[in-house]
Amino acid sequence: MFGHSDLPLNRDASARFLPWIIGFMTYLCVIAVAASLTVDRVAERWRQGLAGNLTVELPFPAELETEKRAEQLDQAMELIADTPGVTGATVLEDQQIAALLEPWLGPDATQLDVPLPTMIAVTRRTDAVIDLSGLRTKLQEIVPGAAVDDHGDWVADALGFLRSLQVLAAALSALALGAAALTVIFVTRTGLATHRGVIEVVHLIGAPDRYIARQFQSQALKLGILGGVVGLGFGAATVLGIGRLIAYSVDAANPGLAFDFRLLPWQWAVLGALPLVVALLAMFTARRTVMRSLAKML
Amino acid sequence: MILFDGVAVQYSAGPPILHDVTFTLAPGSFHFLVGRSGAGKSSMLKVMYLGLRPTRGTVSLFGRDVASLNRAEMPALRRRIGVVFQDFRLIDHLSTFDNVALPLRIAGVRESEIKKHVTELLAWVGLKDHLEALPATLSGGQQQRVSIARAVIARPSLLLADEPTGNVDDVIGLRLMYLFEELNRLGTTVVIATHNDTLVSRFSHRQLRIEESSIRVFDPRPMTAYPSTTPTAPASPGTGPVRRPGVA
Repeated sequence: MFGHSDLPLNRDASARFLPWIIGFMTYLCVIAVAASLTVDRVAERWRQGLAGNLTVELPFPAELETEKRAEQLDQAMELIADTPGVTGATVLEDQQIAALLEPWLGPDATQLDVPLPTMIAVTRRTDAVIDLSGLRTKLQEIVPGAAVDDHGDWVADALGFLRSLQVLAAALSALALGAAALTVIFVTRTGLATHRGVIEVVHLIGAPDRYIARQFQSQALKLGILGGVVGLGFGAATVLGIGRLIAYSVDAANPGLAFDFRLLPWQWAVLGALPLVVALLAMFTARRTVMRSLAKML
Repeated sequence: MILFDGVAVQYSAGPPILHDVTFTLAPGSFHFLVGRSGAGKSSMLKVMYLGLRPTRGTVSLFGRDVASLNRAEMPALRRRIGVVFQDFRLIDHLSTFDNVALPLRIAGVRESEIKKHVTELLAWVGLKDHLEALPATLSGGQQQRVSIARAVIARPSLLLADEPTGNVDDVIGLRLMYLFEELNRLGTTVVIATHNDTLVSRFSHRQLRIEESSIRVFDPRPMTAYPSTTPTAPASPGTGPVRRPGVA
């Protein structure tokens, strides 16, 4: 593949800077693809995590007597339990509600003189279709103002945001690959101009265009693999570093929020294939550039 | 083998280098191409080795009209032509061995075969001790011999040499001429451009003389010159003048 070469392409200045440029572009690709894969995984986890859950909010008036409140809560729990598709319902303790509100109200949320609603976490079969509107109406007959939330709007917004991040990552990858291809075109044309004399002799001796193109494409493949591997190395280190940093920050600020930046083995395999993709892109770009340029020669 | 019919060569807006050149070279013939310096010998060789398109006229090589060749067909035709360039045109970063091996590598010959043939030929031209030398470290005469070895290594059907003995002493020059004659005996058509009258007179081969941008074919054996405007080239070595192709 990297056999004998009649052209001294490895002595060109381009041979020194091309791997670095390809390496940088591969680095950007690795970061973008890793981000895209992670976002995909997070989105899936959020979607799965929330698909089997409902939250029922019962805003009891502050002046309601405790016995009356317990009675209405029992009625609501009974109604929820009898709803087809529901597999369980749990009334959240004040401490659990306080933990949910902590990011907004601070650690002493329950000590504040703020009326907190009663929250019921409902689990359901993921394949069950629950008449949320009917359930909401019946609950409001028991507790006026009762709300049922299946997190659909939030999930849709969050997934939309994550999808836009993926589009951004794809655009960044495409730009990086495009820039790498343009650099290869520039370097190849420079090589063709630099070695025009040798190419002319080799042509006159009877070399077909593909013989000359093969030397440029081998060089581009070699430099592409070299740059790609360097870019992958730095990219992988960055992905690991960012993963740990985010995991540490999120854990510290918001334990339990599912934002795992670790990649699965198959996702690492995808990243591992990127240098090859970039190198092949460089190789085919060089070949096409040479063939097009030589077609203009005698 | 080679047919020129009304060929003209002119660079940009300059005066014509060649004008209405018509001749044929038979397969297996041996010709000197002579003329004063700047007469157009190199331009004519360039047209022959497909390095220059004529401004006008028809050139036919190996029975193919060059103008009708598409780009993909040219390499195969060029591989049948060995060229000794006046300025050698060796590839600076390649060793003597690799320069000579180039035509074989392009032709896809196995490395073991290449090693055998290249080593043998370089020994024959007196360069067996310079196999790994770069052209820059060789003398002019040595470079010329490398250039000649590169031109003949693939046993071309047509050998075109531009002043091939210009930088070597008489002994080496004669030896190279014997090499060309040997190739010619094996069937290679040979055209040698030179302004070395001593060399030309020493070997009794036909001469293509460029005079006044046109050409005359001269055969020293019957000692007769033929103007280009009349039937010109011999059909085969040793025969007399033949009719111009297409002319009764």
